[in-house]
Amino acid sequence: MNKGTIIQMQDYSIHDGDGVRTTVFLAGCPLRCQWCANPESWMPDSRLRYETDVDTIMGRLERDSLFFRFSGGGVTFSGGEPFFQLQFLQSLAESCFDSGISMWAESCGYFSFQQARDILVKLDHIFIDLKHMDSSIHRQYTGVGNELILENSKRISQLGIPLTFRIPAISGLNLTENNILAAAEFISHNIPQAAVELLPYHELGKEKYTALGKEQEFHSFVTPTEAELNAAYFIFESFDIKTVK
Amino acid sequence: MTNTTARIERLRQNYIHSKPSICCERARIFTESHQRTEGLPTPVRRAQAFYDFCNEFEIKIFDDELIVGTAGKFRRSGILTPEFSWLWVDKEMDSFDQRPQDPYQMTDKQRDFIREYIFPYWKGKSLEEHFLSVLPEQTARIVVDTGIVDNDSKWRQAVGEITPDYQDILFPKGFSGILKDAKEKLAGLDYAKAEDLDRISFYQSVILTSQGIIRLAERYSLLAADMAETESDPDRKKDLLNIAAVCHKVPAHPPESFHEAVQFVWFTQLGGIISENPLALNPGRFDQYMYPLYQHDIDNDLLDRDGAAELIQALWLKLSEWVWTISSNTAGFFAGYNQFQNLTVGGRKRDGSDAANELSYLCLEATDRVRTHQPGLSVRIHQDCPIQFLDAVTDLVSKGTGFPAIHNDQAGSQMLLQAGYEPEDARDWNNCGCVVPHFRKTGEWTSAVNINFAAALEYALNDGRSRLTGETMGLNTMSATRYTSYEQVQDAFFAQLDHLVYHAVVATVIAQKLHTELVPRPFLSSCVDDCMERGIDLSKGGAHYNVGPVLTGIGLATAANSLAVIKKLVFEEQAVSMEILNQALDADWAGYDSLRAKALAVPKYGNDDDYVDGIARDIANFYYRQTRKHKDIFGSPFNSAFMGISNYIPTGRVVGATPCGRHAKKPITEGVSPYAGSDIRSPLAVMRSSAKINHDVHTGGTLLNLRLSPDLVKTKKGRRDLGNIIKAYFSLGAFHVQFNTLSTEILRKAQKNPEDFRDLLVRVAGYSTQFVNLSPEMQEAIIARNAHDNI
Repeated sequence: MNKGTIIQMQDYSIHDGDGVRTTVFLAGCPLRCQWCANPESWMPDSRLRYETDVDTIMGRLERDSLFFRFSGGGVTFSGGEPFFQLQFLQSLAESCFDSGISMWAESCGYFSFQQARDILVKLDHIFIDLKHMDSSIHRQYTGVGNELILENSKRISQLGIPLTFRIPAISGLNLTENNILAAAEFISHNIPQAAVELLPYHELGKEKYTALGKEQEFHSFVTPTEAELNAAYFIFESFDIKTVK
Repeated sequence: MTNTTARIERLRQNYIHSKPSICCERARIFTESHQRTEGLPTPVRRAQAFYDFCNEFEIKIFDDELIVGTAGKFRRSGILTPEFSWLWVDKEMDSFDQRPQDPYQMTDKQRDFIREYIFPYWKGKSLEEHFLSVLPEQTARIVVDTGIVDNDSKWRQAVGEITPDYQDILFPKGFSGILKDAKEKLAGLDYAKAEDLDRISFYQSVILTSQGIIRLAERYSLLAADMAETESDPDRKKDLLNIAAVCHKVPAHPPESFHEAVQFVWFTQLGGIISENPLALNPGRFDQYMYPLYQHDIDNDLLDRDGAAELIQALWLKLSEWVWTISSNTAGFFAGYNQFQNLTVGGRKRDGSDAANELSYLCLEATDRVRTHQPGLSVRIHQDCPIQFLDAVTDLVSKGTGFPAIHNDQAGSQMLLQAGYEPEDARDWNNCGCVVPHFRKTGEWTSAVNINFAAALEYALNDGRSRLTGETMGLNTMSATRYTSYEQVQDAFFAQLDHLVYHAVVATVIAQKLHTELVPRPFLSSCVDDCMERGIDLSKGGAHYNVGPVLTGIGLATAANSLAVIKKLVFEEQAVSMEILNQALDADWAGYDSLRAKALAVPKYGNDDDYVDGIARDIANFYYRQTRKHKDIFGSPFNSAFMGISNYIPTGRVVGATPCGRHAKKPITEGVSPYAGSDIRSPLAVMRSSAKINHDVHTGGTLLNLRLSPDLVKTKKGRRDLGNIIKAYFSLGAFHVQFNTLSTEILRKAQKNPEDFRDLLVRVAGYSTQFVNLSPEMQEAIIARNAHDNI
């Protein structure tokens, strides 16, 4: 599929992977996380997204590839959930692969592994969100359980693709000792080579809910302290898990 | 890492808290000297006056100083040079302390003295008066204090724009060596030969200036020794004795220690200041010529790294202290007490190998430590430069000082090759002033004239008249309503631009001619090859290389953006007629909001959009071709440049609304930078647009200023990424880039004037957005986060 919907392309991204990257934020998401900072990605009537095609995106990426080459960067597919527009992502990934552009992806991990396999093998790295280790809590706050996500993580890792787990760290919700311990145990047991990065919850997405006239859907959570984050990192490190700070 | 020592911190505090003050001593001594030397050749008179100053001026050594010497009684002294100009001083000095840009302290007593004893002598004699009386009326209307074509810094001021040759002249010979050479040369000349007469005057003048600077240093040496005798603090006593020994040695003799070399550099600057109050007297490749002395002292345990750092920082303060005294008009173009003493580190050596050394790093550190506006610290980056050097550069960028100015090593060399330099000399370049690639054996007016592109466009659209005054300033081209194609508009703009170039050339060659007659430069001539060899003053083309004067284009992006609007809205979409557009501009867009919105929506230069970037390139190419058609008094073709300084503000003030959507009197654009706030995509897109200009032909330099969010350079990875972006940008042939990281102050300004800051991208949630589009509440959150990041 040549056409798809994106929210934005952002060049000079340095926080989502090696080097200087261009992040393509694809629209759509199967999850409904209550803390979501990018509500326009899953609100279909949103004015903050637009349809485009592979050629247009590739035109931009070819221009940016000058900066990729010098910095060891590339494209990062993010969202929303990039695998939500599976066929569009497949076309993009094939084009990038043919152009020699390094690809990273940032995903919630909730997709059909079989269908995504062709894309996954082309990736140089993947970020997978690890929102909660307790499936029922996961379902309560995101709308889906975590079984598929954990299973996909294992299978992705078996493909040999470097993986970083990203935890949207929220005080009292998933930044608890129990949950962090459970995550650390899962990772060290199943994917010991994976790294962990904590992304502290923030309310900077509130603006967008207002812009979209959906203020009632905005939920407020508690931003963690530095000490809480360090305590969690300490647990991961005690399991010999690499951390990204 | 070195820290600023307590001594440097005291010096720095003193510098920060001293107000720039006018000192009349230089004007007094020069005037009295000239009264005694009536009838002698001009070079000799100027040199004698220089000597007399060095001999008579009541010198001081201030508390804590390691490097000594001032051109006036105050630490932050501005001197007056009435032989260049005094009319403007007479007119402006009563409000020197009140003017908004670069005020000076001056007392009524000083003013009375100057008006009674100094100005009367120079009446009818100054360069300024000669220039104004010789300049043809039709040129004067366009050139004198108009903001349209401006070269007042070349007839109210000295030229400056010299890089003293420490490598091949000053350090090997010292001024006693120069003195000896001058005496030998003089002995071989014959008064009976007509062709020798000017040379005789030249060598006589160099003898006097060399004796003068040696005398000045010797007096500092004696003063330091005297002060040491009564000094009770044993540490300071030791310092003073050391200063006495250093000043006894340099600049008469070649320096043999790092301290002597630093003091030598400052005495050379001081000599330049005393002789002509210059802009852009550049210390040049400081890390290269100083390194052998640094290495010598380190190897022999005479100095450690911290000691060298202290001396470098002391020099930075000296370079910042003295004040380039200028008219309020000049201050509009060169704002910020900026003396444009450019100091260049890094790059390649003459043999092509990498040049970065420990001193390169110490210089970057010094700017971070003392945070002074001088020297203008420049770095040369080449594709194979050490990663540590690039890291040190981006580290300084992350500190938010705006330094260093980052230059493409290869592009600089290429520019000099195109200007006719030998390849090894082209590789050995340093910056002059702000962003002009330069070489020390050169005489060149690197910032000869500023030319207002937006004015040229205005005349093309308004029958040759200024929109603000109604006065006819340009050519009478066709009435704008009769243009039937975009090409006609572009041609009319080019014709008007060509007309301004012509008058810029007239004003320059007249000034050049007058400089040869009225203000020869013996002291600086002795610092530049081949003046001594040939016996010819710098002002008369004595230098090894004489490069044509540089005409700086201002408002490139304003002109390109405006032409793009006309092309698209008038001729392609026919959304508006030329007549209505002109009415909207006459009304400064009042009542034409929807038309202005359409104009603003047309692609703007700086977003990697070929539609408008191509127009910018066409204009730049045209400008290059036209400037090269003219020759200066030495037969050298003029050169083009797109550089900055603050010239985009006064040039904007005289131009009405422009089709790009800009309001009347607002600033236009600097260098090859986009219009403020119109580069809404990203810094990378700006670089792409800028690189479409053929930088290598604009041998007077090109300039790109970019704003950067601090979170992009907060981490080591971010700084490394920026370094790689710079290399990528330079791989396209671009010459210069400089970054301002976004301080809280800038974000506050953006809140007040959102339209000028639409380019400010900030990372919000997951991705970046335009700061000005956030709600006040969100903006506060970003400011708070930013402030935190800066810790």
